[in-house]
Amino acid sequence: MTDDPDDEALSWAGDEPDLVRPGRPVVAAPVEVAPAEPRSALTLLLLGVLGGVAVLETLGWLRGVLSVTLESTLEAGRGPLGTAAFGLNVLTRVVAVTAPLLWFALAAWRIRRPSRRAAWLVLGAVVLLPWPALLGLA
Amino acid sequence: MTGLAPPRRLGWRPVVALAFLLAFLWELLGALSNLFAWLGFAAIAHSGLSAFAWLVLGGGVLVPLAAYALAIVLGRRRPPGTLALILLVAFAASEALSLSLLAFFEVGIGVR
Repeated sequence: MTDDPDDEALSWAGDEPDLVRPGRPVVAAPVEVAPAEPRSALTLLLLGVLGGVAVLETLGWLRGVLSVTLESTLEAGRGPLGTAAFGLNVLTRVVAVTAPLLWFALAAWRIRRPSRRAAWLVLGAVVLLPWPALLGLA
Repeated sequence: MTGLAPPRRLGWRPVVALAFLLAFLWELLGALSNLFAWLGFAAIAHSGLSAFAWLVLGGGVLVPLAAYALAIVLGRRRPPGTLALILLVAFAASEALSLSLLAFFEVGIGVR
């Protein structure tokens, strides 16, 4: 196990390893304000472009899940269990629609290293392409 | 005390992981029921599933498993709130990928 959280696959802003070290007294460290991370124009441009892509993908997913083809795969069951299952399935569709924005928000907000953040943002943009809309499901 | 790994405080992390496990299992159940339903249709038609159908329907089974495992690996040392965020994004992405596979399947079998 490494002590350096940056050796993890992701480095997260504000997260430190949640460890209890016995025998080590807790000493209040002087509060240090971390300097604001300088964001280059390229970083801001990338965030803007990929944020726009995330919004467009969300709209694509909304169109996709509202298509007749995908709507027809949801069926309201009989009885309370069927209704509960239908409600859960609708909820999962809602979650799917929000996937691009959730991915973008988590990566842009929590990943500290610019190169890793960019990599995760691009990965999200590729993985979450709204295929139901792109395939033209009616 | 040298050589001893410091004890890790679990806190709410197992609760968060278990709660999301239920959500991923629900998705897995849907994918499995889809696969078995189409296997049943194919059996009625005295036929088998095509390689494309196996790829897409089998992918639907693998996606939630892989997404949950990846989220747990990425969030294993994070506080419960961050772990919950990672699992939420993984679940949303997994649902979106499953819908993509469903769309490919429906296009592939000519449901459009």
